[in-house]
Amino acid sequence: MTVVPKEGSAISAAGVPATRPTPADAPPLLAVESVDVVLGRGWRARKVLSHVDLRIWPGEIVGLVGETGSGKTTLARTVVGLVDPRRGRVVFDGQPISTLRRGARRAARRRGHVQLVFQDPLRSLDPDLTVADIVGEGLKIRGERDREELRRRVLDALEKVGLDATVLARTPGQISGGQRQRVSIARALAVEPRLLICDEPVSALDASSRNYVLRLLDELRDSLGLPIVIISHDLSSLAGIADRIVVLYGGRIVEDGPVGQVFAAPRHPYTALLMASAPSVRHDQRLSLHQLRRTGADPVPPDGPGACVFAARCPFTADACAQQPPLAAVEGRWSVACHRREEWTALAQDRNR
Amino acid sequence: MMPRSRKRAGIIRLPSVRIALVILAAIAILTAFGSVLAPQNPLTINASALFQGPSAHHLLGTDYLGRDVLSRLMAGTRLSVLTALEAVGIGLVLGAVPGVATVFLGRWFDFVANRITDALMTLPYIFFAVAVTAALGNNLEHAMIAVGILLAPFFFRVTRAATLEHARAQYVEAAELLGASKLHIIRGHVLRKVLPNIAVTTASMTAAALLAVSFLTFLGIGVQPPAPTWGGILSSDLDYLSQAPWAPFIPGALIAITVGALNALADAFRDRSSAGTLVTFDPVTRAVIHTDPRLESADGDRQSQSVA
Amino acid sequence: MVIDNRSPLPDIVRAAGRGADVRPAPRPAAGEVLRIDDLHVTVHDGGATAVRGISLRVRAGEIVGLVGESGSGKTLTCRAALGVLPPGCAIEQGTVSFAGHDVTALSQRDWERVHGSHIGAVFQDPASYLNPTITVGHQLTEVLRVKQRLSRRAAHRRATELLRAVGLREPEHVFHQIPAELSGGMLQRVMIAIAVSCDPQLLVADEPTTALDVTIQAEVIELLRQLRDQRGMAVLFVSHDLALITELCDRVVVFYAGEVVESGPAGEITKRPRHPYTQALLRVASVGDFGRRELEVIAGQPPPVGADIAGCRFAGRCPVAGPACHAGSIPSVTVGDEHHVRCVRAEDARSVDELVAR
Repeated sequence: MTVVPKEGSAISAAGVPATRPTPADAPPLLAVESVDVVLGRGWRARKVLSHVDLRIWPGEIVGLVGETGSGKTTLARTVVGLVDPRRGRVVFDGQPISTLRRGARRAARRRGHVQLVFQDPLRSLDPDLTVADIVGEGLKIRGERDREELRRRVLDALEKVGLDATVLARTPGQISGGQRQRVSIARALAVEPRLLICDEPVSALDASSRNYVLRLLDELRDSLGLPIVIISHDLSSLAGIADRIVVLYGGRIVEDGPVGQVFAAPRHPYTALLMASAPSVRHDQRLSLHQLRRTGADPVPPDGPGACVFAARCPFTADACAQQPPLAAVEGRWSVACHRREEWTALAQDRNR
Repeated sequence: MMPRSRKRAGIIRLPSVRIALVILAAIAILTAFGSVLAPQNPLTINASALFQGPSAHHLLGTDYLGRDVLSRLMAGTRLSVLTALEAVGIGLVLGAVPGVATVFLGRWFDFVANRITDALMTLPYIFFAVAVTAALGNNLEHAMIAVGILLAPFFFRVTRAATLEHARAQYVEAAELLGASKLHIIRGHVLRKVLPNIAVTTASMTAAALLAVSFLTFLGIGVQPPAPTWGGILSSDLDYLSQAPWAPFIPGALIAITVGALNALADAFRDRSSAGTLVTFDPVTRAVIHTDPRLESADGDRQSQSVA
Repeated sequence: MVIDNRSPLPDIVRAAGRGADVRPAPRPAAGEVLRIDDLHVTVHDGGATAVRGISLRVRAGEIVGLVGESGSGKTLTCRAALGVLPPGCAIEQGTVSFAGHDVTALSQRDWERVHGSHIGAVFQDPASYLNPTITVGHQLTEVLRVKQRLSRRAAHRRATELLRAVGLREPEHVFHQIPAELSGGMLQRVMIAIAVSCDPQLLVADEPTTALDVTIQAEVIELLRQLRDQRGMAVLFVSHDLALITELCDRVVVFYAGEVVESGPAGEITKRPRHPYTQALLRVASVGDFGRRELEVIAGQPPPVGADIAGCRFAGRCPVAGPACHAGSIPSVTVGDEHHVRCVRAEDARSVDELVAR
């Protein structure tokens, strides 16, 4: 097997070979097609996701980034079918799954294709069940009755996350936060999913545990070829393992591209703002916060329902921004939703640091 | 199953619960063996020993027909308690089962069930019981079925509320994602958490049913003399209040003590198990968070939890 | 014009001293706002010593960062400095001096006069420190009227000024909103407004941005820096995020298992960390350098709170631990300008640049 560096990212410091990239014309494993999601009923209804287009290919780790209210958790829930899209559809391996109803949906889920690791293991693990029951639940639902086989597969899943038989008889309240998070991942792994979505898997962990879990996910991707979507608000940890980064703002994808390229030169002002906001131990040569934030001197941004979602915070608005820009490809698998994607960087550099 | 037994063990330590359990155990024994254990035949009439006070021969005295009061009460326990339990049983099945199911069967079922519940809760049970016996015949069984039907709404409400709380839990969503059927979710996740609520309601409803039985038999509904019932004894005692002013207190006390014991048990159980979930509000994500205090682990601080 | 009706600090402490046994405070260096000497704090009603021998200084206009894992003692130290230790916790030994006056044994009532006027505090979860039923403006004016004895109108004006000063764009509008109507970032700004409303000499911030989005966090940090620049206020900043601490703070104090293992200027600590734990933290921390890198972990677990360990408390996880490390209590040595390390192997430490470049 030839060692081929992943598209757009450097080989890691230790020279570990990265996975071979999927050919550009291969069909995606997951396709979110023009999805709109509305939550709440009647006068309380609000559009949480608009026109979201996302494709995931096998073997990649995609970092989904957005602030509170950007819709990232809703997107995860829509992909797995806990929320139904108002428009558009979700297609997995060529089969639309968002249109399935009840029995068919249950059957599809029992096949275990897409699994979600929830954000808070305190809430997503039944406090009255033991780890063995929790991790084995998916298998039992599938009809696995043989106790020996169940135990074997549960231990297998636990081993993949670095846990052993000692936790089998414990309840979630009896293990640490990091262990709970890993049990949550093990539960998803036990049913051998083909796509894993992790909603903020490491936000509640300290730095060392955070890295441990991220490394774990990286190894899972390498050993199983399992594509993983990691939802996070913390850019820096994604940078360690993500191949691709998708930035969500106000319910829309504003940038989607290979991690190395996006971080080297972000094409959307919000992405640049996220990066400039992240505290760093070593400072990089990049645009400063002041260059990326609106001031009173900037032109009044266009208002109105059709305007760009980011316009209100953007210092580089122009008249064109009264129309929401579509997510357009800039090169290869890199797309940006910004009318001024060619100009704004130069404008930013001209501003006071 | 460790958490549950720990809780139960904790309750038994309470003095109120211990006393209640002793009382209820005694009542249970009386229900089963009352007529056998009674020192005298409850039906034997002795015209020469009317309205006697407590004595060695008649520990609680005699009634207006010279019958031994103690024996009558002991024998009467069976009928009163069993019919009360029958009513509770009916209420439980008619109420708790739909109460759990309604959360999973969709909005229409829930709407209809709620409206039926509302309607039933407006009916006063005495009149309903009287109407039923008028229609179906003067039979205590029928009357208690009527009471049972009217207890069902309470079971329904409590069970529904408890089920709603647990059915929205994230671990239920996680189970759904694994392809679990509704039945699996109920059996695996919801039922064991709802049982404490059902148990509490059963205890209080038994107390209510017992009172209902007493009142109905007091009114003379469904009782065929000379069969003794607590309420019946109380009623006839009140008829002869001038001759034996102490008499009504005895069956009255019996009813009160039993009802009190049941309610004490219900309270203790409720206090323990509805420590349940702590509801807080997270201002950042604007989410209502249900935290289970059982999950307070040693590391406390949410932000830093080391990987073991 | 700032109306200052605060009780001057010496009065408060002198009043406290009349009844209590006032320990002589160590002589303060010039401009020292907070000084903690050899602080020992016990928890669980004396059952365990969670903070052992902590000493630190904060000077006027300085931002000092306390960094460490959960359970390392940084929050307890912070609370001891504020006089708000949770029930069951007590200062067993050591002194806390504020602006040269010993406040270690200050009574609750006297602390209430210091809080707000001389020391302000901001905590992690602003919503739980604000009354959810009262408008934020009202809560702000309440502080101003009680502490500075302003009239209602003057307080309203000052409150609006403060809300504007902390970066809230429509202060008049925000004034009349209740906490539930504001986002986390805005609430935190309100908290900061309340904390600095009476121009305190010291602002204590305990994980103020941990629950906020990274863009909002950046704004709040900038705000703190601005306030420090404008008012010469000293800031004690607590966080578990090393990257944040080194970016914001002038000096850094690294906590581990109840002790200070290293302290010094932020630049020094970043470039030449001398304690193996600090080095490990730096390796693990989000570097902000977005190239693909190996994610580091620190093996093992910190010792349980209050554990009695002979020798260095980090020795169990330390890559360079030797026999001397388990011997006796490890003294703090000075390795640079205001740079102190509690390690017997400090001389063997390599700079973080060497470590990363391997």
